[in-house]
Amino acid sequence: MGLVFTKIWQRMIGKQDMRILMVGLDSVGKTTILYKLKFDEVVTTIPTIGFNVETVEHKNVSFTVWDVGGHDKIVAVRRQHYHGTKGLIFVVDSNDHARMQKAREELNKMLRADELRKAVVLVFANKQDMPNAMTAADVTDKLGLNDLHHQWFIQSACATTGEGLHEGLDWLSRTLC
Amino acid sequence: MFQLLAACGLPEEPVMAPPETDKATEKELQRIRRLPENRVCPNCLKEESLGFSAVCTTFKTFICHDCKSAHQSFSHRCKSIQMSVWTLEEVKALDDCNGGGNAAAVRKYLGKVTPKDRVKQGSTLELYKRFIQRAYVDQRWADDQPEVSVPEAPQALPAPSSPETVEEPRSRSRKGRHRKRREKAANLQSDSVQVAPDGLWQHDLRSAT
Repeated sequence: MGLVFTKIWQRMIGKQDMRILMVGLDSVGKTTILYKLKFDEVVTTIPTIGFNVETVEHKNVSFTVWDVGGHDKIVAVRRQHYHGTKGLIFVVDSNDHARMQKAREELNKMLRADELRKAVVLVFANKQDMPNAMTAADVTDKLGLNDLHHQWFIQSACATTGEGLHEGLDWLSRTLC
Repeated sequence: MFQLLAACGLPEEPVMAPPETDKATEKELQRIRRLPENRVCPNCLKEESLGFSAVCTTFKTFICHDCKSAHQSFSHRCKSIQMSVWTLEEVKALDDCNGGGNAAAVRKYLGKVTPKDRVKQGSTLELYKRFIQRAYVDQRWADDQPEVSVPEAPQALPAPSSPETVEEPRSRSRKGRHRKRREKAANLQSDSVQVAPDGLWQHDLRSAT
């Protein structure tokens, strides 16, 4: 009985820590998303060498978000970040039709890793403010999300306005808590 | 298939040495990056003495971080000099003779831009984005003339009136000085000297190539 009460109490008041890995191809807006979540500011970014890490408080969950660089030479050493990751945020540029296939390959390659077997996947279909942006449904299709064995959710987002970002974190906290 | 691989115990994504750009490509990329015209951002005229670290491959320009961020928000493909892997074809496309590099982009997209239109360094990202949109998406300053043959003096524009604009940078040693002057002139925002930047730019180019 006491245990049940503690759990409920923890859920309502206590902060839970959650390690989240944010990945995606280069220049899709990962760092912009991170700093929009953290400081509610749009920053001009430089290519991420290694990673940026920030703690983002959302409701009663404290997300430690690791934003790992997406450039060719960096992704090769990305695997060391996989350990202990409960949730994966995969960011795609909805406006970049040409690189959707490459994004799909990257996502599949990553999810094959044993460390990420149980991770849940949140896909941000970013840059929705662009006139030619693909809808979340199109992105789902192009990334082949329906074929994934992981639990996933897609959220259309715009990093510069912050639209959709908190909805995405809502799903993560609901799913992981 | 993936399950099969996992079952066999094969490493799915092995930790390997990062992919590299081959030596010759790297050298050529560095050469083009350090050309005088590629060390001045075509959009905000920011100068970087060692060369920029970002390239917008969509428009084949070497650009500063602020302009890169703005380009990226329009999904214009940007690559990093250091951290992206380059192929020789990609690098060759940045050469002026193949229609790449900042000078070519200025001729093509910014032919009619006036200093007043330009985004000022240190502006907010919104202003950078607005400039990039006007210049490259709407192409409102694009030169209608085909860019192949560059005339000695810009014909569409009125004859230069300021003494500074008449002077031509003949010797290489004076080029740096002229570039600074050109920027200064751009900052003055006066109509009479507006023709100077592009005129001098083209002369610069001719003596450089």
